[in-house]
Amino acid sequence: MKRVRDWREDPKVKFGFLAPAIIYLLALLIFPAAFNIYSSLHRWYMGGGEPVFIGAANYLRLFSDSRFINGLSFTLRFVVTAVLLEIVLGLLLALSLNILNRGKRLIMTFLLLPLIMAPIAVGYMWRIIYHADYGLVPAVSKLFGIPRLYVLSDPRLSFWGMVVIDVWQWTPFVLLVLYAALVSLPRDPLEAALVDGASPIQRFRYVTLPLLTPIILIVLFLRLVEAFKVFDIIYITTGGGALTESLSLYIYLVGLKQFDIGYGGAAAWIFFLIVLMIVTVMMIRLRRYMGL
Amino acid sequence: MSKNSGLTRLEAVLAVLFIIALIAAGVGWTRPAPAAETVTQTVKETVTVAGETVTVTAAEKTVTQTVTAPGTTVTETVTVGAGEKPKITILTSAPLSRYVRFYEKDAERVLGIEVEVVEVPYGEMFEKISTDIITGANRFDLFLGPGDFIGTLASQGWIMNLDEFMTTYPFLEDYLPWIREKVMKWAGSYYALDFDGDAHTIFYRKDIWTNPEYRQKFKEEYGYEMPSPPKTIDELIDVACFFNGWDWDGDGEINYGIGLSAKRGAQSAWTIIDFAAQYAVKPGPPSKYTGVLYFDPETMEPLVNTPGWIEGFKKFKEILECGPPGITDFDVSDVRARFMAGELAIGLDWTDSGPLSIAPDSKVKGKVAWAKIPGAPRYWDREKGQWVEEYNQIGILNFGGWVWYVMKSVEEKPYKDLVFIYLIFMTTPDKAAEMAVAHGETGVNIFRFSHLYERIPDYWIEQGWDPESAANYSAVINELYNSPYVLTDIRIPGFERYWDALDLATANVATGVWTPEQAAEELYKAWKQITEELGVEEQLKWYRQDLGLPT
Repeated sequence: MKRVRDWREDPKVKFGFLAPAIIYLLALLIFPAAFNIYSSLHRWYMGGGEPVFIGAANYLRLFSDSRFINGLSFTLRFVVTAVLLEIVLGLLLALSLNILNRGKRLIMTFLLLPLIMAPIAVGYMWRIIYHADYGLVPAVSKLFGIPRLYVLSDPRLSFWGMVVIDVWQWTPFVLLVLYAALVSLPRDPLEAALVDGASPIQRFRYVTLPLLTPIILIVLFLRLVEAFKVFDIIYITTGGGALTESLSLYIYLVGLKQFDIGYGGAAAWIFFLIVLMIVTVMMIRLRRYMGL
Repeated sequence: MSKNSGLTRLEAVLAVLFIIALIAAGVGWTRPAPAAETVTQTVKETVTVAGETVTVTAAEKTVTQTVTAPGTTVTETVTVGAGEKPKITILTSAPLSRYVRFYEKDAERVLGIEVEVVEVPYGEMFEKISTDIITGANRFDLFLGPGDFIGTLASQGWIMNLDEFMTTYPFLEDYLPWIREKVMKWAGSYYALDFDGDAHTIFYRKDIWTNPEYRQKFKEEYGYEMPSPPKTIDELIDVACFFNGWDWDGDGEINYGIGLSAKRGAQSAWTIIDFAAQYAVKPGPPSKYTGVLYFDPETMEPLVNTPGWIEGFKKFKEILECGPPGITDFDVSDVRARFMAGELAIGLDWTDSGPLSIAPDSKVKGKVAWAKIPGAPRYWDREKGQWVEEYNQIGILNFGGWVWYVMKSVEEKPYKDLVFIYLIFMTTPDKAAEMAVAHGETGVNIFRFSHLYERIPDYWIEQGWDPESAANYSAVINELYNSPYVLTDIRIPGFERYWDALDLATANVATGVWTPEQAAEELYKAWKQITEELGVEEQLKWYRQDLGLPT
């Protein structure tokens, strides 16, 4: 008896269903990425004639470009500092909320407000808070009798100014995820530890923290990826002045303001590879930890 | 059934609202655009708009514009097919977009055209126009943009040469000389039609300047009469510092000396050239040793590490000590807002300060005097390699102004002539005066003889100016545009890159990241690298063309 072939097994049908996703990937990911590689190998200044092939010259130039190196340095310091603070503060807040009996919803609502604000709005708000003359920060510093703090124009303070904004906006995200994880932790190990006479610190150190670690690593991963892209708050507050030019901002300026398409493309690729490397290491550790 | 299953009432209401919003949005998206209006009836309309007569005969679609300027009468006629309604598409940005929109309906009604204004943020204009050309979309007919784009646009052949148009353009002689000869021209040809005069001046509070007590105090402190206006950068620093940090207007609030843009990415590059030019440029027409600020016009070697530039950086840094707290974080809007609120004794900014000073919310109406950017007591002579102890005051057309560019693709468009008629319509003297004198919010500042106070005093007074302030403001601008020599921005390909490096150096000096010497050195390296990447020979050719030197 001749077997009737199921139409669902027809490769053409399969391909037909896959086509939209493939087209989407090709158009919005593969082609732009390939085109960026092409442009990064050329001297191509929009408004300056046709692209000229220069091999790896754009990539080599990056290593002697002080702005690229400073941008990378700023970005790495920023990511490490801000994300670390966010994780620690977010965890502390989540633990505090978890032991509260009343008012959780109200406190949570207030704490989550920064998270729902657009980064541009956050930037403008903090620009006013930091404003050298009528801002809150200089006013408070004056109130306490310490010299006025010019956060946006003092290179000694500007880095921390940016970190504070990021921590203010993104700690609630860490809090939200970790709190959700905390309330859904299995009760048995905690109760067993309690019966065994473990102190609160011991319960946290040996029970809660190990159970939370996979979630912390996921949050860490998400925040790292996001923090590397820091742009909006810097663009709005300092414009990259006072030693706060992040790599994203620099790439934007080179590629889309100065139209040095080739060099901007090379910088973007190197930046992408650095982030990819860090994220890959993170993922490997996460998988190992979770036994995957 | 579980208590928590299903939707709560609130969630249900929100869901319904969300669906309604989606449907409404969908209807909005899918609703067909109104059909282009076609002219089917025979209408002959004659409109007179303050000196211009425009006749539209709609059935044949003959558009005739007769413009009468002082001593000039020009009639332009263009015929397009009956029933057609050509659409002129304009790319621009705020605040000049307000000017285009101000006359949008008039232009559509009078010329029988459709005007489409595409407005993008200032920083995205170049990207938008270059993408339009490179991709071959050629959507835009006109580009109302910064005058300093002229070098890039003209050198790439992206805009039309307007020499032929200017032979019949009725208002050419009305333009102030340097607007006509520098801002509108590149490599000896017209490529732009200006609609704005942009240059920096200082403006200061004449009411406190004339206070005898303050004058006496200043003399005691500095050993000379309070200069009115300051003639040199040093005098400017002295008066700024004198008025800094005390309540000189008796309102119980501390006042400050000077405000200027110093923030990164906030137009501080235009501020630093005010200072550097006075010390670094030997006056004279453009040549190897005179009349140039940025590059050696024979070698394309950056001049930014010369002693003149370093002195400019030093003076810039020095004057920041005589401003409000956080002046290093000032952008243009801070300067304007703080001066107009009566907090500053001096401002250094574009000539927008004029109309803003008479705005309804201004606290300094009738209390302001204007002056050209002060000069320097000496300048660096590169030829001799030494300082020359001579007073030096260099005029600069910072930014140049907003100009109309006609895109090259218009040459192939059937309504090409109508584009030029539209340009004439939009640049008639009455419109220009209305924008420049009465509508400061458009960012248009005076740029023609016919705008000057001495020509139309009643109009200035009607707008709220007092005669003394109007005469002073108008005269300072007129004097600048009639100076023997003036400098412009860098108007060659790569302008944005050179300017960004200058902006960074300036902001880094302001915030103390770099010393003036370091800034000069870093800027030199950056400019040198940009030039080498873009090709020294090529850049030199464009630079010389921009300066009007033989190539």
